[in-house]
Amino acid sequence: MINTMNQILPRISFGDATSSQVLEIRNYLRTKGIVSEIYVQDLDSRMKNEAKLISRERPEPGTGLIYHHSIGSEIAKFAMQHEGIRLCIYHNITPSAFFKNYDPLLQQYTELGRKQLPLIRDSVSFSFGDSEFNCQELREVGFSEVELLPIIVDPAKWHLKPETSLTEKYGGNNTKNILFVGRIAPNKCQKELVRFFYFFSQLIPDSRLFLVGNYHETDLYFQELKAEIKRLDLEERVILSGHVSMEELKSYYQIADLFLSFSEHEGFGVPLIEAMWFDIPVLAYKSTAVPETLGEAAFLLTSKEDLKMVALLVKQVLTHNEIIDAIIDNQRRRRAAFLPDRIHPILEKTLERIRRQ
Amino acid sequence: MIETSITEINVVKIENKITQELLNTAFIELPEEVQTQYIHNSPDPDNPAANLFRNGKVIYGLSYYLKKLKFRSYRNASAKKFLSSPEYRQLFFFLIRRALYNKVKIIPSLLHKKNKGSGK
Repeated sequence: MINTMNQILPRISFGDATSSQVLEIRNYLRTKGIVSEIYVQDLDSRMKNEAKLISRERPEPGTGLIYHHSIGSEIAKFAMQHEGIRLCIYHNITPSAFFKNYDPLLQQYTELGRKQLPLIRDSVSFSFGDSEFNCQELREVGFSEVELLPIIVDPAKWHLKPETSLTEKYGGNNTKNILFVGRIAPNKCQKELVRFFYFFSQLIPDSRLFLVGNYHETDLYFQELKAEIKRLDLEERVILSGHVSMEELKSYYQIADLFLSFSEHEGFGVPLIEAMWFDIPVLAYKSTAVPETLGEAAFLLTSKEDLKMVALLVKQVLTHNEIIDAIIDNQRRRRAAFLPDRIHPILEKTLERIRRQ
Repeated sequence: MIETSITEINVVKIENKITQELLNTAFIELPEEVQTQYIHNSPDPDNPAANLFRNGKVIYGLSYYLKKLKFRSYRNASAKKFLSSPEYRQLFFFLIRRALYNKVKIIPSLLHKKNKGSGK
């Protein structure tokens, strides 16, 4: 009988998908009377009350340990040496090729992350992927016992006041607002979204593109993106938010008319489901886990080579209420699949399995 | 171009419509792209710090770079050229941020020397 089940990951941050899932699992385990802590190598200062630094405190031998894998780090090796039952949740690793020209360190860490998979495979009792796409990757590396554990997307987190200055500034008029949420990164393809918007704004001049997501001023991809916005003279109409609070994020979702993703790599894609909770029609490029996450509400671009065609398509969607209604109807059904009460039974089953071991 | 599991949406009708519209719409093309000079696509044999960066040896690049800040080779013409270039600022902040992330110890006095402008 196991009464302690801890979690470990390289870093916990405020608001990112992996960190949110880690907190959800911790909270669930605690409601079941299981002692559960989160151990990290590094943390966002806003999370200092949620996790313990392994440089100060380590998980006790004999306890259960869930390791979250999304990038290469020393933590993987450390976690795999833990004395006690070991589990892994795989959130996928962005292919290193995306960072080749932009971030040599991230390139190295993502390569390392994939190199560490065999070590994890040989050390854990069983594993989870947060999408079938992720599970399949693990199976291809030889993981034998892999199960699906989708990310919990709980709309209860939006029970907060939106940032009114944003809704007042951008909402409540006829302007068409196109939104993408995700950190500024080569695999998310925001540069292509800007090029798309160059054509789209010729069709609907009263429009804006919101690229909501964190960036560092010194990142080369961000600098390229900024240069592209300037080159296309779209500085007034493409809004780069930088890191936003939950209140601000809620405002961006509230003012959006369409969520458009050109991302070429997603292990799950939490913002796709979040957008569904705000009844924003989602149009996304068909890649990696995106079709699976969208499920019965999938409205996918199979090609984004011709951005003029994409611009015409988006105009077509935004000007035809019957298309929007059909997408939203399906999205309302789909989003329910990621509610806590749909995911908790999987966690319960896992606990049963651990108890039997 | 479109794929959907939403049965109410007629993909063929939409695709035909936008193909037709494409013929009738006069888009202004994207302006010709001018190659921007970023560190990663501007190899410079006289710029060893940037080359180290380009090769992915960021931490070694940082060490080299901090040596530069210590002005051991500041009088060297290529180092001077590098320190006065826009890439300098870009690389500097990138390396410092990465160094902080990786907990590389940075000796503040090395950084201050540049601000004091003592090139000795």
